[in-house]
Amino acid sequence: MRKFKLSPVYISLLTVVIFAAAIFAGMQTGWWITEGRGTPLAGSKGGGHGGESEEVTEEHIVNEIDEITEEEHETEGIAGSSTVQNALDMGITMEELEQVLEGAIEDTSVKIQDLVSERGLKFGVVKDALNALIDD
Amino acid sequence: MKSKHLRLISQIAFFAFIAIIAVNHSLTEIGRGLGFVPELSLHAICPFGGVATLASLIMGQGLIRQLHASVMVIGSAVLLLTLIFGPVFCSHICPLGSIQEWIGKLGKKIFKNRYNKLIPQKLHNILKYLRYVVLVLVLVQTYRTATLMFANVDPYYALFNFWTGEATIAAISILVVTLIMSLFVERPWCKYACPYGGLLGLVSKISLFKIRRNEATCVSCGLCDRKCPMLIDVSKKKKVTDTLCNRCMQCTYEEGGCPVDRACYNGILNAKQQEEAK
Repeated sequence: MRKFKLSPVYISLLTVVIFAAAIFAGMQTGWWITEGRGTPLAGSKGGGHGGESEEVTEEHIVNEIDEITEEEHETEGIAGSSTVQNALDMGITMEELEQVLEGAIEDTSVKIQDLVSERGLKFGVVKDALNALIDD
Repeated sequence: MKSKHLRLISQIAFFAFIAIIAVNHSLTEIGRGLGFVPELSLHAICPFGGVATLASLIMGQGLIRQLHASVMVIGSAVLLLTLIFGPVFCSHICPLGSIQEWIGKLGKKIFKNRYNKLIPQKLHNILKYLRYVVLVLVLVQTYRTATLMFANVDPYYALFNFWTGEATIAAISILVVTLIMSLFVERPWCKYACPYGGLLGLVSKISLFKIRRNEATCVSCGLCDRKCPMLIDVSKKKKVTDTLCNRCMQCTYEEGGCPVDRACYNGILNAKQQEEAK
């Protein structure tokens, strides 16, 4: 009678083992790909499609510009909030940006961090490369 | 070691693993990643991402833009587990389910017998279908936009991203409400809103192993009903096929939810079939 029953102990153990084995099998068969895709979340900070909209007032825009300017002064380089336009203003050419970001850039108002996540790149690497170009 | 301890260890391990992955992802973006932790984003290990991706592929929309191919591996692993044991992902792995359960333990101490009885049974019987409304909405939106729209309201995503600015206010609000509600209701998100849990519940209808009750030995004390976090009347069933059952096993003898050894168990055959098989 016992052979058709499964103790909760075995269920717990088998759950972890099967889950881990499936991931291992995925790695072995080449399906475990954890990079190379991604866009900004829809509706979240930094663009994307749809999502909830926020009423933009003149005051809001002025505050945002002030914030960006303050951040630029503080960081003096590429930061998480830097846009493509910020990078251009810092003296990096569009060709250099497209080379580092591995693709064409259509909108200069988009955040670099968003392009990085969209293209499956690592922000730390991109940031260092762009800051090196600014230093040059 | 008791099975409930093993389940708790499994829950803590997976919760810690996802938390470390999420923190490391943030640290990597500022160039301070932990070298010994794999550099993954949550979109690479999103359990629901596999379903959304599969739905998107079936509907001819291609891969969802935020996600990586690895979600198909995670999705397949969870599907396989569900086909064999039922929705054990929810009870053993899901970090959002785990944190609700842990907060619920505090709620049990505060509210004692009143805990998990806040919502009337009739209302509960209606609300439990809300998961399928959410599931349909998510799949339709995913089809329409080919993006993971659910992340905008997903408390799971918010739980591991609330510090990054990537989680929306809506998602963080839903997370906070879910965690507060967990003090009164056991696993409120799982019961009433989780689209993934709803889907796994449907798949579990054809799972190999199911919670079964041996009518011959059951003393109908109703302890299993009181122990069940998902408010299922286990003592009135021969076989638990309710889509809410997440195989936490709390209704079984081993977990202290049944006074009779193996009156309530997780098995392939019912008691009569087992006697015949002998």
